[in-house]
Amino acid sequence: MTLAASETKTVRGAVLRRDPAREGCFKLVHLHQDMQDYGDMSQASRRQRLHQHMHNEMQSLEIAAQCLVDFPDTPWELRMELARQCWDETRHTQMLYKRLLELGGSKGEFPVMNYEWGVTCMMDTLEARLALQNRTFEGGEIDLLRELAGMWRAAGDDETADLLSSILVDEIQHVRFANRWLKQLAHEQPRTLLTIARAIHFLRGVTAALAPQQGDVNAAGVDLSGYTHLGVLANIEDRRHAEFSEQEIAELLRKEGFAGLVVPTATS
Amino acid sequence: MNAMTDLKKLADDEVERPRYETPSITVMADEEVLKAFQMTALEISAAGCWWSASSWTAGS
Repeated sequence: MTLAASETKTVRGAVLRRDPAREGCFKLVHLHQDMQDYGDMSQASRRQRLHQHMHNEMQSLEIAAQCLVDFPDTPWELRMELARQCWDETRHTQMLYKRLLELGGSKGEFPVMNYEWGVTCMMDTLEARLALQNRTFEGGEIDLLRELAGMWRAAGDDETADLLSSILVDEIQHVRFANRWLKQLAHEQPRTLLTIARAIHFLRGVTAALAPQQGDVNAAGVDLSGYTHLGVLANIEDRRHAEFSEQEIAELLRKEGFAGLVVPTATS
Repeated sequence: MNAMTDLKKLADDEVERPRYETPSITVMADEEVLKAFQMTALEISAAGCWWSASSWTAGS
């Protein structure tokens, strides 16, 4: 599968997949500094968080659906997993949209960016897309959703916290089926490992290219270079449910600076 | 200054170079490769455009 130039866009030197179609109400941006992320839990910030999450779920749906279109010869069982994922991501989008409306928000209220779509859909194999979207982005989401549910609960919104926790359960399955298939494919065809390595290398390059630069201020007036992200730590229990091996979890903990917490186990 | 001199000057200068990282993968074993090619949520969010950007705190 070769992408025509008309199917890509270039952002800060990184070549990404051109954005999917969007309703006219959405304001599309290409850099984080043009987003309107807030650094607090104000009412506007709550709506923005739900809006951003809703849009990310839309992207996840579109990525899984595009995989079904682009790789028609995939084994039927894996196609069914992707189809079920489409259904899950659709429900997530609807649930978040409903909650957004309940909090007084509206579709298109904040800028949106197709980061995951832009990166993942540059990959020309299903293995690479599963490695990026399911195993990496949604794997990270397993860690993130637990943190975010706690933030909403601490802010007094149990309903949204419960909603995020229910989404987390589905995401575990999306990561799990990708892990199962990637490990099976890597066992059958070692070249798969090189495909995964190349995909992660690409993501690292894009991440470096798009990282905020000194003095970048976003559309909400937040100085991006003056903020640090809260430590989102590996959600060990749920990563086990998603069938990351003990070795993989241990490596993540090491990267997060918690090598001392790694307990050697007999299983891998 | 000829090419040889240029090379000698480069070698003599104290140039800051990236530290050489000993490769952690020595054999093409499934577990080793899958383990090494992972990114933490923090690494993914370094671009600032992933949704963990939702969990900011004022910092350095």
